Formats: sequence, C-alpha cells, structure tokens
Amino acid sequence: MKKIYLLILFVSTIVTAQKKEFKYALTGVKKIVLESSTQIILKAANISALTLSENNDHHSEHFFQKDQDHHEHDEGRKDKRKGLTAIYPGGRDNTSGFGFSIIKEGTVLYVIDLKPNFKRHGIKLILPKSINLVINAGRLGSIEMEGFTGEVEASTNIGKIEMKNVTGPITANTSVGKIDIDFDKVSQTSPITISSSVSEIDVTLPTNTKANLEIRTQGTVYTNFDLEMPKKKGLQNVSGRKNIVSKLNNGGVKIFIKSSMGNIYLRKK
Amino acid sequence: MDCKKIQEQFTRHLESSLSEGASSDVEKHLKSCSDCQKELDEMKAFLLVLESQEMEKPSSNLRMNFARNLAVEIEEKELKTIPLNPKQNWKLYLRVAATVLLIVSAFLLGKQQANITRIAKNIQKGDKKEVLDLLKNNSASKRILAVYSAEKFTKKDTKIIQALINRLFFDKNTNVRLAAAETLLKFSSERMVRDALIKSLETDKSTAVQIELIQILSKIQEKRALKPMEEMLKKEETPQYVKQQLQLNLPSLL
Repeated sequence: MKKIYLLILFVSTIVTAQKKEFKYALTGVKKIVLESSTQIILKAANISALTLSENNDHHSEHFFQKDQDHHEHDEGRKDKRKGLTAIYPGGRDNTSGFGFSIIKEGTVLYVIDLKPNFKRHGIKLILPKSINLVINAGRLGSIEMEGFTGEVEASTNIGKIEMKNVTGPITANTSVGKIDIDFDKVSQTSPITISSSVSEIDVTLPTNTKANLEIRTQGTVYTNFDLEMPKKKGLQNVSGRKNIVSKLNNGGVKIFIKSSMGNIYLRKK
Repeated sequence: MDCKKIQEQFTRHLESSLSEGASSDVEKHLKSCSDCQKELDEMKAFLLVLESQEMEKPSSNLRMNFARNLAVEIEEKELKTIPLNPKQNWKLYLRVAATVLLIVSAFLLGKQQANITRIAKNIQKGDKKEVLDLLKNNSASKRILAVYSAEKFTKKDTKIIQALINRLFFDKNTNVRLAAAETLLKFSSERMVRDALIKSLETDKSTAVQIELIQILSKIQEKRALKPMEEMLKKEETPQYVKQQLQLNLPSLL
C-alpha cells in the first residue's frame, strides 16, 4: 500500500514538473557532452541524475513585455499544435518538449540542444559533482559552472567562461569571451590548458598549488605569485611573444595559460 | 623426639608409600610405643570416617532453581548483545556489505591510480606506443599531455609526427590543436610538418589556432605561407584581431 502511494506521488510529481523540469537518471554515465548555444548554467550536487530546466533568472523587466507577447503567441499556437509533435533537423526530441536530444553511447551521454539560440533564454542543469563534462556553447552561448570535481572541457566563441570551485583537469577555450576560473585545488592527473584569442583570462589558484606554469600573451600579465622571470637571450621576437615559464611550489602538473592579445590575471587564493 | 619423627611418617605409612626400611622402622617402633600405636589408630579411624562419609548431594529442587536462574541470566545477556529484531540484523548485513564494497573499491581505485602513474612514468620514459595511444584518448587533457610529451622524440619518429599532424588537422578540441601546432614547431625542419602547418592555416576555423600558426610560420620563415596569409588579410570575414597579427608578421616573410 505504501509503495502504491509512493508511486502515485512520484508520477504526479513528474506530471506537474514536466513543464518546468526534465530529469534523466545517469546510471553508468561517466561523461556528459553538452552542446547548446545559449547561456548555460551548471550546478553540482550530490545526486546521480541530470536535471534540466529553463533558466528564468535573467527574465528581467526588460524582457517582460517581450515574454508576454511570446506567451500569447504560444497560447494561440497551442491549438494548432494539437496532435502534432515538434521535429528538428538536429535529431529527435526525447526530453518531453524541452527540445533536447539525449543519447547514451556507452558511458558517454550526449545532450544536444535542438533549438536555435534565439529560441532560448538560457538553460540550467544540475549534475553530479564528479561527472566529466564536455561543453560546447557554440557561436553565441556562454558557460557558467560551480563546484565540479571531474574533468571539464569548455569552449565558447564570444560568450564568457566562468568556473568556480573546480579542481581540473580543465581545458577551456574561447575566441573573444572572457575566462574566469577559480580553483578549489588543482588536480595533478593531467595538464590544465586555458586559451583565448583576444580576451582577458583571470585564474585563481590555491597558494600551495604545485605546478609547472606557462603563461603566454602579447598583453600584460598581472600576478601576486612569485614567478621566475624569463631571461633575455639576444634580441626579442618581432611579434612580441611573451613566454613566462615558472615552477610553483617546486613544480607539478602543467598549467598553460595563453591569450593571444588579452591580459592575464593570476591570483593567489 | 623419636616419636615425633615416626608420627610424621604415619600418613605415608598408611598410604604404604614408604621405603621398606623406613616401613619396618615404623612397625618396630609401634610395637614398643603404645602412644604412637594409639596415635596411628586414631588416624586410621579418622580416615575411615572420611572415606565412609557419603558425598552429600544438593536437592533436586536446588538444581532446578539454578537451571532456571541460569536460563534467565543467559536470556538477559543475549538480549543485550545480539539484537533479536530481524530488521536490525538486515542492517548489519548491509553494513558488512558496505564495508566489503568499500574495501574492494579502495583496492580497485588504488590499482587504477597505480595504472595511471605507470602510464605517466612510461610516457616520461618516452614509450612511443603509450604516447600514440594516449593521443587518441577520450579526454582532451590527456591528449594534451601526450602532445607535450611527444616533444622528447626526434624527427626520425615519423609515426609520432604523423600522429601530431593528425591532431592538428582533426582534433575537435582547440587547445589540443594549439598544443599540436606548438609541438610541431620543434619538428619544423621536416617538409611534411611545414606543409601541414600551411594547410592547417588555410583550413582551421579557430582564430586562436590561426594566430598561433601565423606566429609559428613567420618564426620558421616559411615563405610559402605568404600567399595564404595575404589571402586571409584580404578576406572580409577574417576578424580584425587576426588581421592585426597578419600585418604584424607578414613583413618578416617578405
């Protein structure tokens, strides 16, 4: 009897939550590949499922009018949609109307956004803390994440990359977006590489981090770590490449920070 | 004096554990000394009483009472130590299972860790096969590790160079392509490598890789790169900051 009540409760939760949230159990999944070109917010939690929701945080007053219009359109369209399902060129929507395609291949879960950027106002995902992540924010998306202890690969084009309380290994890349990464501690398993074409990179490391640090930019490097300064050998390169190679706390994992033109800020935590 | 010594030997005499000489001495003395004879008789009588006395048995009532008390005692003790509640028993099994699981997983983790350090060590030793395998790893960070460790090989290791060129052309991750381009700079005396760098400049979509390649190609004075670089400069869709790099580096090739 108890079980039946639980089941009813569970089903009703799913039904009521359907519009706002989509859940997917992550049994046997070690890595999630996420592709979406909108504002992506990722939160870590001690759970073993994926929770996907539309991000409503930035639906400010500015957007309000527009949103209402949007809703009216939706209402009007609802009747027209009756008996039909949305299909997308990028794949099949199996997230009950969220417009995502979720495919599991071995231990990798592919979460692909089927809707174009202008149809989204940002998404929010809650994921297990230790999962490995590969996130591609496409041409216009940005990435914000907090608290992940697994390996993270993140790439954007013009959007920012912001990571808080991560441990690495991190592979982050952007063309013009800002990168801001705050490490809780630094995993020594494999290299950390952070690169950008033109924008600034801001990295915060724990003071006792063991690392072989390499910084390269044509911009300026600001830090409060004691770094070994490069010695001048003959003439400087015409292109003005600056390469700072230094060991932190007697060396450790390789950390490579490269911005072609932006400033680099390296801070102690 | 004599009597005392003889009397001391009475017990042993009665048990007939005395030597023959000593025994006859005692008997001789007994015949002459009535005191000692009396003493011995008394002792015999006392021992006889002891032997004839039946062992007193406790009443069956007492035995029953004792058994009952013992049973009660045992029951009380058992209640305290072993919970009879089956639910708690189940929890105990779960705890045991969890402990076993913990030990096994700790063992496996240790094994895996050892495995990783072994790979890392082999890579430091420059094991070619390990590097080639790691270049195809699923993790971008591991591939970058492999690309960096490929620096240690010589230009004769064409397999390594070929694998690096593959990374430069086909790797999905920009940072891996960047690392590959940078490592290939070390092998730039090879024509194959120079060709690959030029080809990559023409095809790579990432501006970070483009800028890296522009800098590398001007550094190695590759005149054949002039044409594609000039074309990039003319193209409208080339971002301003890439054009800036081209303008900065082109003169060094002229």
